[in-house]
Amino acid sequence: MFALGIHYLNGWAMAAADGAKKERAEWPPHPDRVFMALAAAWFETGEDLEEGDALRWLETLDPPTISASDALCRHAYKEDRPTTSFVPVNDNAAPIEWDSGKKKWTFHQVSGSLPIGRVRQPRSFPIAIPQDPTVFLVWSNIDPGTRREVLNRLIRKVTHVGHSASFVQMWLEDSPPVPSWIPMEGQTTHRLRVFGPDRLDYLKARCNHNNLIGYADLQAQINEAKGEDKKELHTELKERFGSTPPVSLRPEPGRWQGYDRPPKTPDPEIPGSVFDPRLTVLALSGKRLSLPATLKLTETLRGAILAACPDPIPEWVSGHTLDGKPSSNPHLALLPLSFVGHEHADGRLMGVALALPKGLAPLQAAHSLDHLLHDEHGLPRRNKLFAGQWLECGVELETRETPPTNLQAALWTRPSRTWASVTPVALDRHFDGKDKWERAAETVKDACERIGLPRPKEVLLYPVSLVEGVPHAREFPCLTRKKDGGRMHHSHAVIVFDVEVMGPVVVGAGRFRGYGLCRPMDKRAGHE
Amino acid sequence: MSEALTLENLKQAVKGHAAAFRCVTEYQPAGGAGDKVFPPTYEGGKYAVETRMIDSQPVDCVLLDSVQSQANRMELALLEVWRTKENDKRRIELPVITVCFGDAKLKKKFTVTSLDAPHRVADAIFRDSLLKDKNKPKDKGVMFRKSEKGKILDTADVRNATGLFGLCPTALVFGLWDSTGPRGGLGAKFQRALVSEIVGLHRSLGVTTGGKVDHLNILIDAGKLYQRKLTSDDTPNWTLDESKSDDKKLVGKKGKPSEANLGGVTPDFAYAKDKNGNKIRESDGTERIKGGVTVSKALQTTVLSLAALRRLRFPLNGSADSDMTVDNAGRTVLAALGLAAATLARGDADLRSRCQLFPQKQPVWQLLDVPGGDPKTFDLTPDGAVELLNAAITEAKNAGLPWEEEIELTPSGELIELVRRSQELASASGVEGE
Repeated sequence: MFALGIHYLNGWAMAAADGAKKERAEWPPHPDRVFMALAAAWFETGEDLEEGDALRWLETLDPPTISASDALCRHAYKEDRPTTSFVPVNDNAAPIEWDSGKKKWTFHQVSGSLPIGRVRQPRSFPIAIPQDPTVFLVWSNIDPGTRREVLNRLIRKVTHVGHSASFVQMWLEDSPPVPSWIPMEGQTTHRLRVFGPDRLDYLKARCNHNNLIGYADLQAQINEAKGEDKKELHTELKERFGSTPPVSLRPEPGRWQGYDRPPKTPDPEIPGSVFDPRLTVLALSGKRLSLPATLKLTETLRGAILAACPDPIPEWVSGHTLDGKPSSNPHLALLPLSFVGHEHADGRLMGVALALPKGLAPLQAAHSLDHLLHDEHGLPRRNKLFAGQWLECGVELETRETPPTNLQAALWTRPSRTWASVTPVALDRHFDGKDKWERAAETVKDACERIGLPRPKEVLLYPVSLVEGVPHAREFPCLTRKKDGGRMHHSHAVIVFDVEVMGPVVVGAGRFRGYGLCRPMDKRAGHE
Repeated sequence: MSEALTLENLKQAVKGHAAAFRCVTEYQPAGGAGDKVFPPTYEGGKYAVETRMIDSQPVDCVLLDSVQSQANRMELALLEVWRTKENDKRRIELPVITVCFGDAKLKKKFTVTSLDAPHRVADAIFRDSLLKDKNKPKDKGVMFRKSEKGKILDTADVRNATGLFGLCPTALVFGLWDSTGPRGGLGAKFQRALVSEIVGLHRSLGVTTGGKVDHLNILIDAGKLYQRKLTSDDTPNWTLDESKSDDKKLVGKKGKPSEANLGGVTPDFAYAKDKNGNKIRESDGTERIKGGVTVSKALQTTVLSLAALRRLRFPLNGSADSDMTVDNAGRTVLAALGLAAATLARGDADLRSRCQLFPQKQPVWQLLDVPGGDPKTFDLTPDGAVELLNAAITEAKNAGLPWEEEIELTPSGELIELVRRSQELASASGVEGE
């Protein structure tokens, strides 16, 4: 095993996650950025042959695991982007400028202690402040062997990762901490740029530094020369560079790799539902919504998911077969995550979890959801949801190391015998008679079996939820039956199993749209 | 326990594998703990804020002085010491390029140096100035970038930083990009080796008020003020007589006495306003009040990257290769220069109006060598830093490295004219700068 240790000496990392926009800070540092820092150190210190070989060996390795804490970003007060600084330019020293629009002279602001003004341009410097300024890129099963000394020599030369002010100390570490992010296939929380074979040669060719300098120097000589000398230099320029000046281009991302928390292997003895307990959590922002808005929210989000999904939309996303009929297989369910289960809970919606059916191929899931979840920089995409004047909010993949409790998937999926509804369970049909509630309860037991769970020992139906902060069942709008438009009755429920079952537990006719979502009620060890 | 930083310690650090020197200094407001301080404001009058995890607890913080601002202060601290003479000798002998704007045509005369020009030796002010031969006073001189000294910048790079070391060593410490030289954007680029910043912890936003008492008790309805058509030395620029006005133009928008800075101002919160005088609102709709902050303490973190200095090579006499002894001598000077700049700028951090900080202890420099290990610590006083720098310079010169004295440039006629016009216009419109 070996690792690259990176200590951010200022306590922060200045690197943009969104390219030239520079509004979002990158954290954790992408492996490709670290590789580029190593490459820069190599290019700028003489391109030692042994060090070059070491880099070429490094680029053949699989993407590393990463040990990094969470980070928060510096921002303008009450905004979610960095402040804008105005930096003096150097192409023009004039302290005044004629504004042809306003037809008057504009004076430029004095610059520091300089008593004359200067044009300034806006610049942003996105900064991430990690809880722990030390990061490790870890290769668990690799030993650098004889390359260790050479690698050490090279990594000591690295001065910064990201902006030149983002000073680091790098070293080879043999006992790194346990990774917090591991490369995974399929739907993941992070997408990071990684390096691969031939990356070093690509960077060199893309920068094209030697040709650019050679061209610029020759051009400068031509500008100074006269007569025959000038002609000769022109000929040389053409012979060396042709008719087009060489260009230097920013490197493009080589490869993207999904990263997520190391998964906890579910206990195979504990039964679960047809839904994968690894929920994909999206956080809501903007206008506050309450639990009764669940149907409207999930309907709008479903529209966004379908719009973002590449064609052909698979059955597990749409819930329909190719011929348009409702699917009989489990498909994507949207689960409302709300602030409940606490003394001061108010039932407001904090997020939505995407519950995928079990057994889905990871790449298939990623392919269908990637455009919704990530932008072109690999960052969580800020999606806007809008449905008339009373639903307007943002939704974005939750990536924090410790999100709020109710946005943690484990809270909704941990094993428990007793489960209580947070959104009402839609009943299959209406019952009459003295034993209507008992018969209705039996249908809920059927519903549990329908989602792959064992038949519960007991189901109790109430108009109010056992969970603090959940509104009365009558505050939730009813689902309507597709065949006749009739309202489907619903009720809160307490479901008790003989054994612990793993979540998510979401039952009843509205389960794919967020109704019938239950929360585990068994006390956790060490918690009230 | 810390030991005093000696030249020998410094040389060992530079030669070795230590990544950096770092100094973290705690400050309190000069007015005492709990006194309000005013952070820098950014576009829209906003403060730069952040949350840090300290002892696993989230702590709201505010930026009190940015990386760029700290760099400017450190350069000014060096300038101040360079200007100080003892027995006709400067306290530190530093290559400094100066341009004196002392032409008789200028209303205000001043000097610009490579320590206060925004882009250091590569600044456009020097580019548009002339270097004259002192022995030929009648000579017009040559544009600085076309002179022998100026051409050093054309070919300077990390593998050959000798010329720039002798011409402007601070550029190798604070960074430089010659973006307007003959190579355009590909010109000499040297990364910074020194980064410093001040952050206030446990910020709590404050509120300030503003108002003005008018001793003349001029009321708002006292009259409409017009712009006077014919101004003179014995009348104000405004008039109450419409017949003497410039086409009935009012002073300001409504001709109120307050628009001529007469009359009182009702005390009110000091709201942040945009260019049109409208109150700026936060994203949640509340009005932004310019109020400063209180903090539990301020922390200044300064890092001098030895790894950055080790990239620099100083070949002598036109050679393609450099000698390690000479390289280390040059790097030691730069390290001493960085430490001196940081140490001299400490002491009394008067950052801006109502933001004066005072360090709580003498600064201690950590040498960051073995990752995770206890760093060695060193003391360095301002006088000690100056002595260290001068000793390092002596050794570098003995090793053959160049070290200029003051290089005096003369602003070109075109540049003087531009400054003259700027001063005239500013004077006529009463504007100091937007």
